[in-house]
Amino acid sequence: MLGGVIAGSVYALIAISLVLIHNGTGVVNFAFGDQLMAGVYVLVFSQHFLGLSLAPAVAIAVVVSGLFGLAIQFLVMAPLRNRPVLIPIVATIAIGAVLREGIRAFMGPNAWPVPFLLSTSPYHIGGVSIVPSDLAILGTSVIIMLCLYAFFEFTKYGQAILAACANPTGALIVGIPAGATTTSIWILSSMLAAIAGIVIAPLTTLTPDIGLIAIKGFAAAVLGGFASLPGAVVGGVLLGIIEAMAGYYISSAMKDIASYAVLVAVIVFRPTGLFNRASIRKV
Amino acid sequence: MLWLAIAVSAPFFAGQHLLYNIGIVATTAAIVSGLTLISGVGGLISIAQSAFVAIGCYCAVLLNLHLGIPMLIGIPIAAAVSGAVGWLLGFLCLRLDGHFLALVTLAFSGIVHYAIINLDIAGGAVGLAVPTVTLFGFVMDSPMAIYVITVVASGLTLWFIGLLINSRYGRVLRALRQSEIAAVSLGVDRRSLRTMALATSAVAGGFAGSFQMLQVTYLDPHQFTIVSSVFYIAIMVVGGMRSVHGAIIGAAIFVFVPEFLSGLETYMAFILFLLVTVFIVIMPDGLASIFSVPGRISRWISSRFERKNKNA
Repeated sequence: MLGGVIAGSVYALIAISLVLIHNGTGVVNFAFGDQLMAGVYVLVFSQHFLGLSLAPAVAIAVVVSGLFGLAIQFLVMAPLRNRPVLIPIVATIAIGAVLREGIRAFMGPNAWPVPFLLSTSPYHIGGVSIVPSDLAILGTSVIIMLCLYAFFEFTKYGQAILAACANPTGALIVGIPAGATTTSIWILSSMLAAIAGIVIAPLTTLTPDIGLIAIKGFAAAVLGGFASLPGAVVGGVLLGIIEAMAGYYISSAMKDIASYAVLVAVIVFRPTGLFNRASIRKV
Repeated sequence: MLWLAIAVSAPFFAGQHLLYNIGIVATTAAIVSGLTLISGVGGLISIAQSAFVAIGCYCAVLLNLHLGIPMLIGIPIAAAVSGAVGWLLGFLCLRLDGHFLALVTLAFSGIVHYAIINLDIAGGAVGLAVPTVTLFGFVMDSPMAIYVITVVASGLTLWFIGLLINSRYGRVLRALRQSEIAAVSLGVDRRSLRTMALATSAVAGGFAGSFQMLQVTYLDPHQFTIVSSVFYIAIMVVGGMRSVHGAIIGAAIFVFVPEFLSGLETYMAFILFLLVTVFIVIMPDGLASIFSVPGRISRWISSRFERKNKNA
């Protein structure tokens, strides 16, 4: 249960980034999982080959990932912005494949060890065992979400991004530069990708295929309605719990299928997510 | 016509390896043509094509192994099963479009992959050997026989999808992509049309996929992941997603470019996808759009002349 919440908090981070990009640019970013993977590999690379300690390595990973988001926007998304939506989506798929195969070729297909953020030896406090590394995952996710909340709620830039997401034309009319907001969304979500990756990677094994975890982010985002950021958070935690339950009560194979099943079930029966009312599309 | 000429003349000039590759191009193109119908013409993103291929392949093999149904009879049945699953999937998602359909088909792909791995009857993670094909009592297992069977089957699929795209049905589907509101207000039944399009693409995937399995001769569940579904989409986009020619060109690129790049070894896949990305950015309409360049140039020149005449 607690494990579910912990995994869920990371799914929530992923879902937030996906929803941000979807609302702000109209594209579902299928490269996200691979950006996440690449972020962790940058961390591993700077630790093993540049000999950096954990903190600067994390900083480098986040910055590099952000720069990569910038590159995606300028090199790929901006030239394709007036194309039918299928083309940018396929482009993100291709970018993801480039990252995955590039890392596979450069770092090899085998798993790399990723350091936990805190120690894994549990403390026992009154019969409850608390693992610092789990707390670190949960804590990081919560802190990031609070930062995002503060950013969107209290700063001019955050408000501008939200406005551009809610109503792109309206935002343009009141003078919010569309290009700048799109660019900052790509940078922001790419940095989130690296953070989410660094947080979750110690729990799994780091191979070039770790990016498939993004599917859980998709499921979480859909659960929350693919429109609202708070929805994405709730969806993420909910998915983590569902997954843990399915793995515990049914079978561990079900744990993997659970997120797919949730994705299909929610989209088919409640395409607006669990919390939103159906929106009426006007002609 | 060009494709037909290549396919017929190939056995005379090509060595065994090249012949095998041409056969793979044909079946891959036929699998992708299903996507061309639903995504290129219909504007709906389906990330389930490899799942439909898997359903077709496994049905045909299991029918043969357990019920003794010959492969050439089993494959059409399997394609029909695949189509039925596609229809069901389409029926379930009929109120969806755009990203949501993409996500459902993505999840469907994942579920099918996990199902195959976890079902003992389907050989689990190990896979299954493909039984040989018999036709009128002859065992068809020479490379030439397999080439002829598979190329004829994929040719038929491509021909049929090509006809479909240019039929009334295809035009309505295209209208639906270009302006859903206009099409629906003219009385187009959006739901049944899209469901049928997904079913048809599933049939094409299951049918051509089963024939590709005859070429590969082994069913490995790792051929049928989400990544392979994505591969089919990449083939379609690189080739051009408005016609079956695009599917053929894309398939040829994805079969032959890795051959040329094989000297790069581990970096091959990386370079390949880098090329694909660059390609999408410079040529979002796909390689097949080159054929429309002369038309575009002449149109540009004539528009120039008109302007000059106006000024004069």
